[in-house]
Order: sequence, then C-alpha cells, then structure tokens
Amino acid sequence: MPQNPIPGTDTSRITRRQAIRYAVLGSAAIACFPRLGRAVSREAAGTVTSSATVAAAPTARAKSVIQIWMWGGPAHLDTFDPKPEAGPDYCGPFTSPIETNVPGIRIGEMLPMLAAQADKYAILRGMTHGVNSHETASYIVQTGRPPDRFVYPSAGAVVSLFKGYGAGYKGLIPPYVVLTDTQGRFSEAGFLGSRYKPFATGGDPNGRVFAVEGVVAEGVAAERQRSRRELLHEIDTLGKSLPGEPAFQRLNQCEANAYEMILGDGGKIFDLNTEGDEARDAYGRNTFGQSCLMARRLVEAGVPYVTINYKGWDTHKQHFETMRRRLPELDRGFAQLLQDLHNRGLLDSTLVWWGGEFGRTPKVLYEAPWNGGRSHFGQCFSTVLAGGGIRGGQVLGASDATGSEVADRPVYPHELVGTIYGLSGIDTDAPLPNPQGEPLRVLPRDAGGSQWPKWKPIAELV
Amino acid sequence: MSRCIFSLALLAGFGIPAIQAQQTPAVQVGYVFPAGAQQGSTAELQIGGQRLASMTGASVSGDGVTASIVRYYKPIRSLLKEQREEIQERFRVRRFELTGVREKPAGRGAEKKSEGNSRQDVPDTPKPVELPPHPLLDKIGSMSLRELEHAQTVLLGSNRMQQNRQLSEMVTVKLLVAPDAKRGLRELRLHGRDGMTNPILIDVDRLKEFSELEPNNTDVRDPAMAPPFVFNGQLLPGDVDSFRFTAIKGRAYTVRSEGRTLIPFVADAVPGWVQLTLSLRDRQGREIAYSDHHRFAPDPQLQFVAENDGEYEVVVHDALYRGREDFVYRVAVEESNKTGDPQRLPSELRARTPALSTIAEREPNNGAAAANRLSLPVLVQGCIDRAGDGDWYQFEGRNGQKVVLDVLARRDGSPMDSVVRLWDAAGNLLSWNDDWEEKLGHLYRTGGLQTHAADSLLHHVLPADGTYFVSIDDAQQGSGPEFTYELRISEPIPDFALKVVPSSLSLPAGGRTVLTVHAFREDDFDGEIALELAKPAGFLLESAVIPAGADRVEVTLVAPAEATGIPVELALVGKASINGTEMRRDALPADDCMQAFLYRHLVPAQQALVSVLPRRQAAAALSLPHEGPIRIPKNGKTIVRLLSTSPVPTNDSTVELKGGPTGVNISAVELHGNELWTTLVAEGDDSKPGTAGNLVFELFVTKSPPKKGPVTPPRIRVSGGLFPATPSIIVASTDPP
Repeated sequence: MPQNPIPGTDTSRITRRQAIRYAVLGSAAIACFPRLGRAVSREAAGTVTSSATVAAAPTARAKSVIQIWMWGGPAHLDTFDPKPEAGPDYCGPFTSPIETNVPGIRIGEMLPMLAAQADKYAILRGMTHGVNSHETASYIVQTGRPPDRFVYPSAGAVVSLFKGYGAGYKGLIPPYVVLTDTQGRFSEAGFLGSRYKPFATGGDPNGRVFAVEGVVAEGVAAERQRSRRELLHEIDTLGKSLPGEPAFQRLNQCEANAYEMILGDGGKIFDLNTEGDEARDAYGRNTFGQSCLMARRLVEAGVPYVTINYKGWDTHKQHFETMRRRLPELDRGFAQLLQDLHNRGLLDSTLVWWGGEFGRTPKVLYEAPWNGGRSHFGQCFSTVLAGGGIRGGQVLGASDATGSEVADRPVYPHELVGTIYGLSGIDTDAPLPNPQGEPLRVLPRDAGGSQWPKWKPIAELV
Repeated sequence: MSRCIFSLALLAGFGIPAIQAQQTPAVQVGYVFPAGAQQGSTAELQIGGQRLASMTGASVSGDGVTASIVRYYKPIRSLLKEQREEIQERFRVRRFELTGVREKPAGRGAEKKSEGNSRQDVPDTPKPVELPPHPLLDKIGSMSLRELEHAQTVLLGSNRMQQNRQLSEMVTVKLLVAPDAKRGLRELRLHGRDGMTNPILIDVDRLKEFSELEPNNTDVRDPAMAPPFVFNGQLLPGDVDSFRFTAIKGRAYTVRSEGRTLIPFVADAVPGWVQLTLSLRDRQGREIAYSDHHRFAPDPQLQFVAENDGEYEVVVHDALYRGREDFVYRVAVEESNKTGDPQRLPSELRARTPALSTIAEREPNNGAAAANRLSLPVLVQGCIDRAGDGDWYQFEGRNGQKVVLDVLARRDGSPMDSVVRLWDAAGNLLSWNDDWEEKLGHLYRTGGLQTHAADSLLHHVLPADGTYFVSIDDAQQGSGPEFTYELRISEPIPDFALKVVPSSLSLPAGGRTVLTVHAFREDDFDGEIALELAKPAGFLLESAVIPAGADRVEVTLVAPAEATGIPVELALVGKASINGTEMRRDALPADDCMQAFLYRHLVPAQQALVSVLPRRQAAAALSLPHEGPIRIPKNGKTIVRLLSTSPVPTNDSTVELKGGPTGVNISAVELHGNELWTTLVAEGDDSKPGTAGNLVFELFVTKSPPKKGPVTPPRIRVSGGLFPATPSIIVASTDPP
C-alpha cells in the first residue's frame, strides 16, 4: 500500500487557504507558500495525473461548472415543477404557473425572468434518492454516491482533481471556489483530503468591499501591502545571502504568486466594483445576485468549478412568506447569469447546475407548528442544468399529479453527477486515489450499489 | 397513508382565481409555566400557544383541580424604542415607590428633565405610549425589586429567541387546587368557540412552589430555600438557571427534575425535546454531583448526603444550551426518606397481563445446568440483580408447538434492557430477540413515551419434542434490584389493544370529525375488531370496524344536533371474537406527536374529550351511498359518488382523502350537479390487494373573508365537512369488480 498516495493529505501541512491568509498578513508565514498554488499542485500531480491520465478522458464540452447549491432543499412545486391542478393544499398561493419562452414548458409564477430563459436550460423533474436528512442527502447529491464505508469527494473536488493544477490549470485562483461559505454538512473533499477542499471566499459580494478571505482585507490598501512586502525583503538577510538556493527560489516564486493574487490581476477578479452599476443591478443587489456575477467572473478567468452556496431554503415554517422574498432574488440572479454567460459566449463552455439536496413536501403543512411550511422531501424533486453541452428548452422526466412520486424517467444522483463529469471531460472509470489504496474509481456504473440501478449518461440532455 | 386532494377547478375546465389560500390553524397550546401547583393552593399559570384569543374555558383532568381563564395576550413581535423607554420608566417609578430613591430618568423625556427644559422643542407632556399587553406589565405595580429585575431581564434583555408562531400567544389561567387533590400529572386543555386545544401536562404536588427570577445564570443572590420545595424554570437560548437550598449535615436529599415528562416531544427542534442537566455544587462552587438522566428516563435525578450544614446550589440547563418558551422544567428538592410516592417514570404499561400462573425466579439459575424448570404457560418474575447475572429456564416442548417469549420490563418502569434467547437441548441457539417495536413509516406505534423499545418478544415453532432452554440477560450488562422483569413463556395467546387518536376533539353540532383507531395485535390475532362508542351518549360512530389484519382505521364521529360547548369524555371499546370468546378492550386515548421534524409517537393521554361547538352556518348534508366495501382494483380506477345537499362551488372547492388503505389516491374529481364523482386509484408498491380500510373524504372550500379595511384579506380555506367513513378494499386487478 502506498504510504501517502495523495500528496497533501498530510494534515500537518498548511492548506492553500491558510497560506493565502498568511500572505495577506504579509509576514514570515509566506514561507509556507510551497504548499500553495501551482507549485503545490505540480507536486500533487505526481500521483493524481499518473492515474487520471491512464484512462482516455471524454472530450470536455464544459470547461467550467457553476453549481448553484440551494442549501436546505428548494420546493420543487414552487420553482420548476408547479402543480396548480393539485389545489392549494399543494401549491399554496402559487396557483398560476407561467409559460416560458419554450412552448409547453411552464414554471413557477415567481420566476418570470427564468421563464424567459427556458430555452437555455433543461429541467429534470424526476430526481430521486428518497433520503430526507440534510447531511446524507447533501452527500448523496454532491458525490453521486449512496453512503457506504468510504467518504467520497464531491463533484467540485473531483473536478479540482482532474482539471486543477495537476491537469494543467495555470490560474492563480484555486480551481474549486465556493461563494461564500463551505457546506459544513459534509466534507467536500472526502478522502482526497484538504488539498481538494474548496477555497471559500467568505465575505459578502454584495458588500461595499467583497472581503475575500486571505485576498482582500478591508482597511489594508494595496500600497500598504506593498510596503509590507518590501519590509519583509529588507529583513530577509538569509534569503539574500543564498540567492541560488533552490528552496528559497521556490519560496520566492510562491511569494510572487501570492502577491499576484492579492495585488495583481488575480485579486482584481474579486473586485466587483469594476463592474458597472448597470451590470451589478441586473444581477440583483443582494448576496445571491452578486455571487452569480462573481461566478461569471471566475469562470471567465478559467476557474473550473464554482459553487454558490445559496442558503435559506430549509423552509419548515412560513414557507410562502420566505418564497415571496427569496424567489424574486433567485429569479433575477440565475436568469441574468444565464443571459450574461450567453451574451459573452461562455454558456456553451459553462455548465450551470441548479438544485439542492432534496425538494420539499408537496403537501403544505398547515398545522402547528409549521403553519404553512414544507418539510424535506427526497422522493421526488427537480434539478436544472444549462450550458456546457446541455440541450436547453426541455423537461426530462415528470412527477405525479401532486409532485409526490416520480411518474416518468427517474434520475438518480449518480446519473446526474456522472453526466456532469462526462460533460466536463472526466473519465468516470478513472482511478480515484485514496489513503487506503483501495481500487476506487471516479463513478463506475455500479456506483449506486444495490440501491440504484447502474447509471449511464443522461443521453436526452445532450 | 395517502393524503391526496384535488381541485375541482381545472379538472372541470375552469380557471383558478389567484388565491392567497391559507388555512386557519387549529387551536394549540405549546407550554404552561409554571407547569404545576401545590395542593391546597391557588396559582396563576401562563399558557403559550396559537389561536387562543377565543378560548373561554379550561379543563383539568381528574378531581380537585379547577381552572379558569384570566386574560389573553396577543403576541409581541418586537418592542419599539418608545415602548422600551416607557417600560423602563414604569420600572423606575416602581423602584422609587419601593426605595424612595430617585433615579435619573432615561429615554423618553429624560433629556428635557435633566436639562431643565432648556430645549424648547421638547414638549412638556410626551405623547402616551401604548404598550403591548404582557403578563409582566400587568403586575409592575405590585412587584418587588427582585421581581422588577426579573421583568426587566425578560422584557428588555437581549433577545436571542426566534419567533415561534405556535408559542407566541399567551393566556393566563387561574388554577384552584383542593387540599385533597390527588398528586400527579394532570392534563390541562383550553376550549372556546374555535375548539379545544391539545392537552398540556401540569403536576400537582404537595411541595411548596417557587418560580425562577432572572437573572439567575450564575452567582445566585436569591436566598436559599429550605426543602422540600419545587423550583419552576423556563430555559431560553443559552440560558443557565441556578438556585440554592439549605441542607443539614448527614441527611440524604433527592433532587428530581421534570422536563420531558411534561413535554415529551417537540416537533420543530433537534433533538426533539429538552434534555435537562442537573449539577449540584457546594458552597465553594465545587460540583459534587451531576446527572443528565435517571435510569433509562431522560429527566435527571440526583441523590446525595449533605457533608456539611449549609447551602448548596443546583444548576440547570439544556445539555446543548438550547432554549425557548416551551423548554419548561420543574426541579423538586426534598429529603430522600420523605419522597413518599414511588418514583414516577415515563413508562407505558402493557394494555393487559394474561391471567397465567406466576412463579418467581429461583437463584442460582445462571446457566443451562441450573435452569429453573417451568410448565407452560407461565409468567416468570425475575431480576438481574447483580453483575454477571443471567437467568435460565427450561421447559418441555413438542414438535411443531408455537411458543412465545414475551418480556415486560422497560414498559413497566424497570431499567432492564432485555435480551431473550431460545436454545435446544444440544445447546443450539434457535432464536433470539433484543428489542421489539412496531413502526409504520416514521410512526413508532408501540413506543409511546419511550424512544427505546427495550423489551423483547420472540415467536418460534419448536422443531422437535424435547427440552428447551430460555435465557434472559440485560443487553447493557446492567444489574441491580430494580432490574426486574416479567417473562411470559406460552403458546400464542391472541389478543389486542387499541389506541384512539387524537385525545382532543371539536366538531360542530351535527357535524363529523375523524378519529384514527390503532390496533395492536398480539400473538397472531388478525381478526376483525368492532368498535363501540361507550360514551358520550348522543354521538354516532360510522363504519366502526377495524378490518381483519388491519393495524388501524379511520372512523367518523357524528355529533348530536345541539351544541353544549362543554368538553365531555369520550370512550371507545373494541370487541373481537377470539377462539369463540368475545374479548372487549378499551381504546386508550393518545396523541400523534412529532419529534425532531420527522419521527412520530403515539403519546398516551389521560382522557379523550370531545366538545360540540355551535354551528356558525348551515352546512350541506354530505353522504356517500354505497353498498358494501368500495373495491379499488390494483393499478386500476374506481369512481365514488360523493353527494351534497347543497350546490358545491366549482372554482373554489377541493376534496381531500383523510383516510383509506395505504396506496390509495384521488386521481380526479368531476362535478355533476351536487355530486362529486371522485376517481380513486391504487398504484405503486404501497398498495397491496387485500388491504382494507375506511375511506374518509373531506370537502374544502376557499372563501374570501369580508373586507374590513383598505387591504384585501387573503382568502382562507375552510372545511366544507367530512363525508361518512366508508369501508373499502384494494382488490387484484383480475378480481371481479
């Protein structure tokens, strides 16, 4: 068994995120930078690339993925699978779904801007896994795996592994970015280890300054940062005395990368103030809307996987009051993201994945203490995919009359995630390095075990 | 259980108007504080809940305790700045009355007063500020300084609580407890024109009662109390409550808490209950005892012997430092030899104990060689009384003989977690069982108040004539004189028990409501159970039969034509013929309570009450004429005609299935005159041919309430009434219709 098949799983080493933070502090912590960025990932690539490149990878249609993670589980009946015929006990006050720009497809009445973009996305109305707890369902949907004895990496971590630094990614911004907080409900990187965890920006892109953790520090101007760097150089007598020492040369390169991230073009990507008011307004002046704008900028910069963790969809109580606040926000941000990607010619190469860990109970819970709420519902829910090779303007699968059961074309999480991998050019049979040295693969056809049927790419979508 | 509704509108080809349909929630109580009172006392209790404005009366189970409503309080969403200042001003005035010391005014008008009217733009008399009603504000004029501090903390302290609509209204109830009122838990319900609430528990005790005064998190300043007494508290987010008491050197004391005993399950919290912890500290602040449970019961209890004369402190908090209004608790402190009544544990007794010969275990019997000989049938009373104890029994069995090993321990208050094993004479393990429970989806049917079904049950057919051995142990290696059990070894003794849900029922005069009766079938009994309404008189039970093999049925109860508004007791009896003998079993009242967003438990109630309300408007007579059970073909359809004597509003009506065999749903409803032709389907894996049960349909109508102001009120969805329960059965698609 290899002693450490995945470089960087040694938790005693520093993470990229920590390193970036240290860089901002402008202190001797820059010595940690060999663990950051390209240098680190080239090192990591030793094992990863050798295994990942053994199998022939499919041709990538999607260069990047933007995952809009509807944290808590959005109600499928109030978004992309309206059921007015089932009556108010199921649809609550949302009894008038709207037609989209694709004849025959209608969506929730609170999503008029998305209705005008329906030709760009496909709605999967037959998603199912049957699990109603947040943690397990989040793991299942984001890894495409039912729980077993291994803790598999999420799709973002897998993309980071196969399309990140080890696969030739040159960007300064880490290949897997989360706007703005990580899940916390499960380990995104799984057994791949902390190296493949996402870089969580923190901060609020809708704030006056988007204070990206470790990159943008409110109150520390660029000039002050430069002066800190110069001071550091002045006192670095050891480095000056050994100018040709390879270790110091690597250190200097990492330092240069870090400062490029903070002071150069890398850091500027996070500066939303460089967008005009009109562009920012179009996305909606709220955290989600500006996260969508930020995601577009990251994709433009070549980041292969961006997750927007959109909180606030776990609406057990007073569900419809929350929907009236949240759905317009979702509508504007998501619709503008699709339009903007399209306008910039990025939609074909960017796969946008919208969905949560499950849907919500079709029948409204009018009784106390819910008083008009919806609970967790993994039996049947909706997911939306757009761009990156997805054929828009279609509905795949159907739920029954009340949205309670899948009536047609069920889609299990491994089919969804496997299809995303395929469109991203990732060979799902490629070996997946793990600390135990087990012969694990990215997502083999039998990844669903005895619970789900063997998966195959969702042919109807492409 | 299918719960399907269908709107008539689109099916009938009409467009649905844009409605803001919302359903009026049921009257509901979530907590009572303090949750008890002393014998021979008068007490004021605060009850929190929702839709309580119309409550006019209160009832308490058992004799000797009466309750009446004093006042209703609307929810306070948040206090305005002026209101906070006004409250501070009232506190200041009251403190001046008590101390004679003037305090510098704060807030409203303060600037004017302190600056001697130097600013001309400050009016002499501030505009009166209207304060929201609150029980504490009602009593400022009679409060002590310490009570003022408490009120200030509660009303003006940092508020970390979420608004919970189901707890946000309050009612003050006055309780009169007779000196001879029996000690123990009682059920308190409120009732009024909108119905009757669920029951909430209060405890009648002989001890003097105190209620906490905040702040009391640490460094308690209140005088130490002399046992015996009961301390009442309410844990809010992050809250820690402390109190002191005096103890005498060498005496033993018991500190006993009630939290989950009072409110067993909370639907919208994880875990779904308060988890109390008790910490006992000496004068120097050293912890000398700690508990977060007692035996298997979740409410902690401490016993200790005072090493010194003096004061001791008890610290109470939730194990996870959660809190909200319904995290209510009681802590009793008394000398251990004076606790009197036996410890009350949240156990649920088995509905019956078979009349069999009973023998006591004879030690030593720790192995097969020392096994006690038994003759079947028999009830053995034993005890795992010391570490390593395991009891063995032997009996002679016959080839093909069915035997049952049935343990009653945890359900009877014993801490034992039994495991039974059946062995043959050669030492082969034939069968074993640790825990036994019945689940229906997320409903734990058999657990009641207990979330660990620790008792064992085992059925086995003996493979040959010969000697068989039974061993019984504690699965957790626990032991002690309290680890008692009763083990039945017998051939099957078919029987049944019943629970009726819910325990509070309200229905309009002449109207219907739906009851669910759960059957607990024992030892292979699968026959039909006829239900009978023992009381009250004047009511009618429709389709009152639990079909053979069914574990539950929904039945409809019809009220008499006249409303009394006074809750009366309801009692159901089940009858079945078992081996030629008619068996009668009372249905135990229960409530279907949710825990932690998902799990449900049938929590026993002390009584079932029904209240007949005046009918506000004439209602259509609803009927479902049908001969014999409605047959629903598997993977097929059947149409049921629901009749109304009044026209049904087409655009605004829905039909919902409130009961029926699992897997049956409504697929379509069509309106034909005053008839609703309802199409039923039995599809999916859940629907199995042979499954029988009553269909209960409910008509809902969406209405526009009268407009009283400039804003159009949201439309509301109200019940148009229930159709009578009607038997049905799922049949194979090949069966004749």
